[in-house]
Amino acid sequence: MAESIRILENNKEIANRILKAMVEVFDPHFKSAIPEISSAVGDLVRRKIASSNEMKSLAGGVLRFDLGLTGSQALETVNIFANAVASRVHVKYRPIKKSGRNLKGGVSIKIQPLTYGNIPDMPLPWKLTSGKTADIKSLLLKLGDTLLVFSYDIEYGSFGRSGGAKMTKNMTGSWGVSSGISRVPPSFSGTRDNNFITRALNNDDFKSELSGIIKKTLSNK
Amino acid sequence: MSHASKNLKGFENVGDNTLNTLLQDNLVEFFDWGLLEKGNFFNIDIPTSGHYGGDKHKLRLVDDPNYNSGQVWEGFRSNWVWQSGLSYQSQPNVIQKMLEDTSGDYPNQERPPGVSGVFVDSVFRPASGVGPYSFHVDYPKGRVVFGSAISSTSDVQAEFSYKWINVVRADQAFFREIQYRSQRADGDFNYAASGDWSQLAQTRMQLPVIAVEAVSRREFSPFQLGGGQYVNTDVLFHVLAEQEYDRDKLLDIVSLQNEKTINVFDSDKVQDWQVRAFPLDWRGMTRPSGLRYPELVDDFRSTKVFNGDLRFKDAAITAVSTVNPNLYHGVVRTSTEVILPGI
Repeated sequence: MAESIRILENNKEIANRILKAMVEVFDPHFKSAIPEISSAVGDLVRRKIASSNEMKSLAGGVLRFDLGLTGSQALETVNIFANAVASRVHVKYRPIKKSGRNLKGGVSIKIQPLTYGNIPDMPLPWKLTSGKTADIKSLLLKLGDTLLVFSYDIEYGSFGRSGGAKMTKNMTGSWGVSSGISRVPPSFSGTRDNNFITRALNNDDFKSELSGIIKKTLSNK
Repeated sequence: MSHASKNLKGFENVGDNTLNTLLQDNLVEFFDWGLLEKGNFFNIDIPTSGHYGGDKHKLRLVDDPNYNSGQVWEGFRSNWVWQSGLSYQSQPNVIQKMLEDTSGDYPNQERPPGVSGVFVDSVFRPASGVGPYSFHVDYPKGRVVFGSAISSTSDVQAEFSYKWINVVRADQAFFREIQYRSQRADGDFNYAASGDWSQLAQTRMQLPVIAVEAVSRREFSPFQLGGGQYVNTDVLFHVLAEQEYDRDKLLDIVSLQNEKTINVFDSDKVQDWQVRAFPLDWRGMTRPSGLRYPELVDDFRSTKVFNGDLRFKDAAITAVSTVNPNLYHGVVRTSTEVILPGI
């Protein structure tokens, strides 16, 4: 005895039905994963910012003394930066739809606008030679390799408000290359497009972890 | 059995120069030579009057505690040109050329002659001379140093060329100089009898200047299966000038080298070659067998970096400021990429 099957739909109709079925499965799946992705990416960003070389030096290295911060002020500054950037993680869901013979939609992630308006200035109790009050945000994200203060040396030791250094009036002494008070040390300095935030987030390591979060979250749903 | 796992990689000997030194040596020499080839020199002939009076061709007596009074005479600018045989439309007044011309081509064989001596009280004294008026030229300091003291009332004149833009390493002395100048807004930078001239030439920097600083941050990425890595090191080119126009021009010149690949020489190789190829001796005088930048690169190309190549990338102007009304500062930050095959 022989049986035969006759397919009534053509290939195009079958493909359409498959795509529509996929939309019904994927759309709610992706949509429900957004809060989890958003939270995980925020945590990743917070961790990457806080563990950047610049923030590590601010929290427990020479940059804290260069800027004249106490230990608690420095830790608070690191938290402000990390939380501010993490809070601007925006995971947007674009509904999955059938588009011709394909599906379109998915997840897009925006992290930090280059205006840095979400980060407070964090003014410091000293002035630049230009007369402007120094602030940590400008020092690390805007002023680049600009010379900041003249006529002063930085003297390291167990004194000053940071407990690790003080500024000493000096008209002819050496300064600058390693001290970082006359300029942000060039290994830490930054401009709008190239600073410790962009360096922490625009690299293969971060992208790989980001990709891992998305895959893992979607797989576990 | 291999001992590779027990050895440090990336260098042969702790006495050798490593990447930071290679970068700074080569970038200073590359820009110094490159600017000369684009006319970065002024010829001082006899006579040449200054725009604000004075005679630029007359050397002044220097009170240098390292010499007897009457031995050392300096020009109104330091950093005299010692490189002869440029492709530029005119040639600098080089007091004693390094090697004789041969029949080869520019740049490694052709060295048009420079001038060959100085005048003391209107009497020509050749650089090849002997006796009381024998002398050597200290090109970096812009000086003529006689073997023995001559009368301090002598009239010493010379034809020479000086480099307008000075290219130096950004060391402590450079930053100290900015500090010093930042205190001096009264404009007494250039001319004789002013405060700056009481300093010896080795502690006095003349503007404009490009100072090269390697940043102590480094990034690696893999080059190929089996070994080797791209090594990216940021370099700062500080520009310091008395005119805003000059500062901006130099920022342009440096930043326009973005994406250029240059060849680099290995100063360890030069040294191994019994030091004869180093262009200047301990006195600042040219060596007869000394080589210029293009020859150093051709004859002593570095094998520490792949192909002896260095590429500039991601150039950006990261600082522009007015230190005081007579001093303008700017910084070009560029990343340099080399491939280290042995790591």
